[in-house]
Amino acid sequence: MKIAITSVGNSIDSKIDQRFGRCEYFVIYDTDTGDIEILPNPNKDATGGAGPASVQLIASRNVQKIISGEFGAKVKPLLDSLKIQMVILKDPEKSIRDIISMLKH
Amino acid sequence: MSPRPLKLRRVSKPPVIAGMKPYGFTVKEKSTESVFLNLEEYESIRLCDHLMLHQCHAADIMGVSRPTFTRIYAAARIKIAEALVTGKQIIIEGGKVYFDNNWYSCNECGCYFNNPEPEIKPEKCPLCGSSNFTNYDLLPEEIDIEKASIKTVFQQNFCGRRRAGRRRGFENHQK
Repeated sequence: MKIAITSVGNSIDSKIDQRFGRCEYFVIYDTDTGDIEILPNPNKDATGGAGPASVQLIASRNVQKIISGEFGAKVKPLLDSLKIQMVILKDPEKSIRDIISMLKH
Repeated sequence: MSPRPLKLRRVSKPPVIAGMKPYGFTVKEKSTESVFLNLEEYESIRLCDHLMLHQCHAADIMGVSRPTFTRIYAAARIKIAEALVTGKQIIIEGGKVYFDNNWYSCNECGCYFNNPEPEIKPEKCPLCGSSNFTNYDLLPEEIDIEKASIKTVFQQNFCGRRRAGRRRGFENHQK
């Protein structure tokens, strides 16, 4: 299963980004193979519609779960209809490495 | 200046139907138009006319002010009356709302998560894997109301009005 995590930097020691649509990078972690892919977000400076555009990017990668600090009002119904699970983690100090080790439980 | 953005209205759960169609027209010209009832208007009808709550209480549940709730409720009644009288179909869609069922909070790692498959109950937190989480489902009082018979609820909550004058400082004014 593929999991997307929003990140402020392009390494796995970066912290989680508290925004979804305008986050700096997406880290896509595959739980089956352990692969990590880092995508820069093309919508980070968008003036409007950043959330739905990011959803499209994430959905094209067959991600089933997204971990972020917050999801906007436009994003929630979209992800609901795509059956992508949202996980809200309001802890800006957590790094991507911490989250991946939590996911391994 | 653009108006202030609407507050998101809390809706406990989506309606069981997407709309309603009229049948058995007694006049020749059938109405093919439809009335669009917002989800927030549906929720106001559910809280006020089905659960028989007072408007202040229902406004609290939906997370809006009492006057705003009254406006939503009035719009809902006008739309339903129009559909009933002119034989239009009702379509329930749209509105600035968020749904409150199928969201959970984990007591172990402090995260919030939703359940994309409402048929399957989640067994563990998707982040830390603990089974110690709670559901943000219906409010406890709302479950009680749905269980209790409507008549007793009506009597219990009857005359639950607050005295507006006291809060607005009318008494100080008189002194």
